[in-house]
Amino acid sequence: MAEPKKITINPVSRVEGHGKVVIHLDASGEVEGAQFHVTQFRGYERFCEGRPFEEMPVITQRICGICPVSHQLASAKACDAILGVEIPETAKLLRELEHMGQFIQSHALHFFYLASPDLLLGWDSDPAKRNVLGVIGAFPDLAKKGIRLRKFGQDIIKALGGKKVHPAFAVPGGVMNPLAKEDRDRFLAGFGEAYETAQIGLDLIKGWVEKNLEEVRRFAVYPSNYAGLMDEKGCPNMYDGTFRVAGPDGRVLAEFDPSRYLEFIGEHVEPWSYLKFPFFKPQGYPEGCYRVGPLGRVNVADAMSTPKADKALKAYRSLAQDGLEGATLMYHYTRMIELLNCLERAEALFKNPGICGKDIRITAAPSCSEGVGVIEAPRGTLIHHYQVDEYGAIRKANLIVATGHNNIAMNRSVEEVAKEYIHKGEVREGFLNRVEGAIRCYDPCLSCSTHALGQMPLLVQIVDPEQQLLRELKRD
Amino acid sequence: MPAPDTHSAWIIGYGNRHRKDDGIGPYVVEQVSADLGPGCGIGLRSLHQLDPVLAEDLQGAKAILFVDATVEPLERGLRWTRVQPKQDLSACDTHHLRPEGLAGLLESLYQRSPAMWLVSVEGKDFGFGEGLSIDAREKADRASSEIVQFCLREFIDKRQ
Repeated sequence: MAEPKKITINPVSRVEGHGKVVIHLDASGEVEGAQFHVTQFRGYERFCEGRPFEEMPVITQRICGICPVSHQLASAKACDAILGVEIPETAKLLRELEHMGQFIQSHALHFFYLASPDLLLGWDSDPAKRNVLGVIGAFPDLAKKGIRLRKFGQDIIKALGGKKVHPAFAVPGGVMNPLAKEDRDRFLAGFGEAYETAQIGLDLIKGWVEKNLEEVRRFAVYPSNYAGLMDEKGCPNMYDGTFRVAGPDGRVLAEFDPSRYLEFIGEHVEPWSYLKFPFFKPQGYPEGCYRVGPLGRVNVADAMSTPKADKALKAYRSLAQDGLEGATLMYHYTRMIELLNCLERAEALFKNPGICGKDIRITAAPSCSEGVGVIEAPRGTLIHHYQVDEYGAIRKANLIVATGHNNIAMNRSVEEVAKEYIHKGEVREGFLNRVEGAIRCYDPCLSCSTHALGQMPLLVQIVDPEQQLLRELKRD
Repeated sequence: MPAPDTHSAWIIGYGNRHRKDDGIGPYVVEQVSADLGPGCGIGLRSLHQLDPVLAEDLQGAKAILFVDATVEPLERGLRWTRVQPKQDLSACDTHHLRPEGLAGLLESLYQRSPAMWLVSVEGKDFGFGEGLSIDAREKADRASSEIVQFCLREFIDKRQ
């Protein structure tokens, strides 16, 4: 009988170079399990201890260069709770507007730069060309539109916080700067083109799904729960709301104030990864797997809050019946629905009469020893939870990021791909592209670096139980 | 969406101001901006890093000067290099680019090939903190005055 084998894919992404995938095979060479390792330790929760709580929005946004606004906002919300204040209405509008800028730039980046090479050039096209430069060469007009849309989102962030990345804007009790009327008018003039580009993206992914139904139906599909913040009408709300968890069939399993997350979300730890494995407590680990981000939010929603996005949701639902709701590739489709939703929401915020108000911050002394701030980041739900001492110094910080919520699901996705592509110890052509593609659907923060251009340097090692290398598949 | 911020000549300094001498690029842009004054007609940008979306604003440029810190020891403490477009993954990433990658994007997206230079300035201390080391400041000041002279000669005097 053949010996059990282990396949290692390393690195999966640059993520400061610290992510890898190991596929475990049983004695007959069939896939027994997959582990998506995150071996990088950053330690933010620990080194924030002792810092004044009001520094947290500045410190924690340094966690990421793509979604710093999300960390800043979740952190500021947690600090508001420690102050025990309700921030001024204009500040709420401005924070949400900054957040919409973040979603627009992040979703445009992911779809037009990262996902489009797979969709437009094909899974099995030459990896050397299956990247954003290949898209630019073959579809320059689309690439230009993607660049302009991303810039539109970045410019909103810059107009509010002075910088596109790591802006100085949300602070405990509100925001730092009001919105200038000339900025408001400048942005309002730009929405026509932005909608047009988002619609191109939506049409592109819809057409791709229709043409590739068989692959979509098969690729990394498995039943899971879904989760996200919802408003009072059951529409995804990126800045605030109740946290809803629904089962694979869409039935709502729980809906609660997100400050009660500890009652519903457990955090499992595996010795082989620094990334925690959050799970839905009532179902236990790992059965309580849930997915967040665009697929999670859209699949738990009753509707979208804006007309264009709601129309797109209806088209998605009519296509996604018969089990396609669980298809991992539908992340791309739902991301485009959200892009439309965020553009519409941003336009509505710019048109809100209160958006250029000057009452933007309230100051107060800390009145609570604990605060939880929860928002939806582009990649999914983001939780910041702080406990402070009597001087306002952080005693304990707990951060659950979107990539963490999706951790069990990403492992399952890789496992499903491996089960399809590896039999009797033999790896079928196209396996590396699919593993990369499955991880990319979640747009994990790990992706910031490597699969950045649509190509991950991959190394697959097949080793025996004694860790002796039997075979190596490599793509630089 | 808002129209691109177009200029025929640009000076772009980039680097991390919170890593001491890595902030040479933004520092030089500040000095050059003060010397040339407002209304000089040259686009000036201080950036943390180069980014693909920058290509849109640069599409109308005829000349671009990049200023960046380097750890490499340089004979004069600074070096001017012509930037040649590169259209492969070694020159770019989704979040940041090297000047040659940006030149490649300008060529492939907008069919533009402006004259481009990279002014590299030697830094010594890239530790945490703001402000340049004395050594780097001296080299950065020299680079600033060379850039000002270059701008006056190539862009401003020629317009008059």
